[in-house]
Amino acid sequence: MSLTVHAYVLRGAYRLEADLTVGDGLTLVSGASGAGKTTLLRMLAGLERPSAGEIAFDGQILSNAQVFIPAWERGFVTAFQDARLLPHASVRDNLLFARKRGRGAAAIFEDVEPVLEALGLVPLLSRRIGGLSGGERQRVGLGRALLSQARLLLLDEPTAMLDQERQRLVFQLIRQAADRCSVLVASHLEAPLANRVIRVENGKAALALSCSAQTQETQS
Amino acid sequence: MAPEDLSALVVSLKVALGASLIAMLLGAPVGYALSQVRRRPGAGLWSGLGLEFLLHLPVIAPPVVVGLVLLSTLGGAAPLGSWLEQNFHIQLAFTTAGAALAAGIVAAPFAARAASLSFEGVDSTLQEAAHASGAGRLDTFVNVTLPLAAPGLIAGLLTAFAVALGEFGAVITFAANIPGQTQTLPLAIYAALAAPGGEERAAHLALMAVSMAGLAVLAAQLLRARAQRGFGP
Amino acid sequence: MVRALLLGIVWALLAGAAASAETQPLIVFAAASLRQPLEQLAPDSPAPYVVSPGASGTLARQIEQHAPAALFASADPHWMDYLSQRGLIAPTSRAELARNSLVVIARARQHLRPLVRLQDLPARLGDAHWATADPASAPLGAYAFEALTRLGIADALRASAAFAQDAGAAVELVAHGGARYGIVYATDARLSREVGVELEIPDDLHRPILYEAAAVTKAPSTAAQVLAYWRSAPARRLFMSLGFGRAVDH
Repeated sequence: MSLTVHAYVLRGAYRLEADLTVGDGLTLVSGASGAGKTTLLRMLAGLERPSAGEIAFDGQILSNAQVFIPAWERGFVTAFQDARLLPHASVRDNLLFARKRGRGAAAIFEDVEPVLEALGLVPLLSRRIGGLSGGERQRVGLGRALLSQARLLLLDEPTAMLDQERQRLVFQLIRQAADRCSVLVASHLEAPLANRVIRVENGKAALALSCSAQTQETQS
Repeated sequence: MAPEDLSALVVSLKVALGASLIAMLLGAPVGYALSQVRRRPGAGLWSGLGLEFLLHLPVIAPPVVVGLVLLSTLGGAAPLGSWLEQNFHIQLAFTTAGAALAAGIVAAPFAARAASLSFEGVDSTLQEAAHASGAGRLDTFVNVTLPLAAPGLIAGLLTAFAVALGEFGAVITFAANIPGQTQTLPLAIYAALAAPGGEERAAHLALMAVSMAGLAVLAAQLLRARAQRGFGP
Repeated sequence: MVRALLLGIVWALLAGAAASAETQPLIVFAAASLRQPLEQLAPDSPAPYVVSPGASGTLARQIEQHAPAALFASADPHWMDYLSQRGLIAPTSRAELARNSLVVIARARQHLRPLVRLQDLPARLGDAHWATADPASAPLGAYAFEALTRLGIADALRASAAFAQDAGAAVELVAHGGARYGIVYATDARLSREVGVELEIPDDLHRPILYEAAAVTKAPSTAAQVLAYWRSAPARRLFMSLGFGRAVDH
């Protein structure tokens, strides 16, 4: 797959310019807090329209001056930093929300149970959303995205509220997902399994070209 | 309870229930439209003023005027009314349904305001999350917006019910004061006061109206609790 | 459960909207002040009827819009004329039911100096107010001012007039101290125990206050029976016992 971005967002004094091409596998979006990682992800998701420029996926134009494909038609699924679960629905219904809207595409994981096990969600299935802790909510939000049929996953700080052991398990799961669909993960932590890194700093988002310690080879 | 009083109670119940539904049917879309206008980025003081004006028209006009307007459009000798009567055998004036329509129109602005506030208060981040999980506009409205707005909408339904319960001018003008069909509790109170010694019966009827409103409040609270159960632990 | 409730409501409303052809009592559209006598006469009526009270003008307009009334009893001949001109009442059925007269009322047990003549009212009022119905919307007010004009005291009393929505409200104004005197119908003075009649106003100071009834065109033949009954001797006695004046036969 190929995701090309030549666009920028201008909001008052805030400016983010993105110039990059991304292929298969796991891409880490790294940068300090507030640098613009979330804005980049929102722009790709279709939740924000760039002020100018073009975004294309596998040759299909998602956004330019004339065209803007809305978020729900892009075949992407986003997991948000603040989970964003539907409070009136059960944990189960929240987890399956995106999966039910896959429109016939192939799911990233055919079987639901292994994903639930890996995320430690099985004991939570009968609980209400209101009683979940921050870490639990984050795992449900991530589960919603991983259980979908997305052709591209956008994960914004998916492990920020998890303990270290859990973080390791979750990243293994994300790596598995990245073998079947493309994944962009925004994180200020290290991502030891990423195929490439996009660095966001000083208003610019671009592929980190240097072979620094943060760029890792793909595990094949 | 005297049979005429029971009849007034039953008519009031039918009319107020029907009216609150009509008020929601008319008011909720207007309220929704208003909330969408107000949530758009760049919405200022003047946004949605036209809709607000439309919303308040039935409130500005005295209820009798609402009744007269209905009579002159849907009455048996009026163009639309006679057309309905001749082709569909539907008569709205001087019927229970007509009373519900008249009271519903008067109550609609209250329902619209409640709806507008409810929809405005829906967490837009959740709507975004739905969009970013593959849910289109209608899908998101049905599965996210509506359930989240439900408690407020139910409160609006209750307000409309209370307004419709007490509505007098529009009902007596469009539906007349026909015992057993359109004589609601307010209209029965008016009839009772037209004779000496009627204060006792009027007070009796007023007490019934208050009790009914009280039961409605209880019912609405139960509905709201059910709607909100998913929100808590 | 909610769905069943909604369906039930819709069904009940539709059932109310459909025309029902069972034998129903005749519907009488009557001015509010006639409600009590007509309802008291109902049990002995040759044909069953229910009384649907309202303001004479509103009732007339509703009859014009095909309201399901068989009989119309008006407190103001003007509205009977209105329907007559439009061919909406059976002209030969129009008849007088009763008359009314005007009285001056004051709060009961107040022991005011007796009011002997209506001409003394301005002097007796001083700074206080007097109440009647608004002449613009209720016939009572029009009749009251007709009498006052005939005596030449209308202008003197206009400033101190407190206009109420209808006779009942005017009685309330006097009963609870807002107005020292009130001019209302003789029948209205009986609405509250808190007021008493101070003076009866002579009938020749104003147009006759007529209550008329008529059958609506296309009313069933039983309507005529009810009209005849209302004009019978026992009915007349009932009207008078309630404070109405005797109807005049033409």
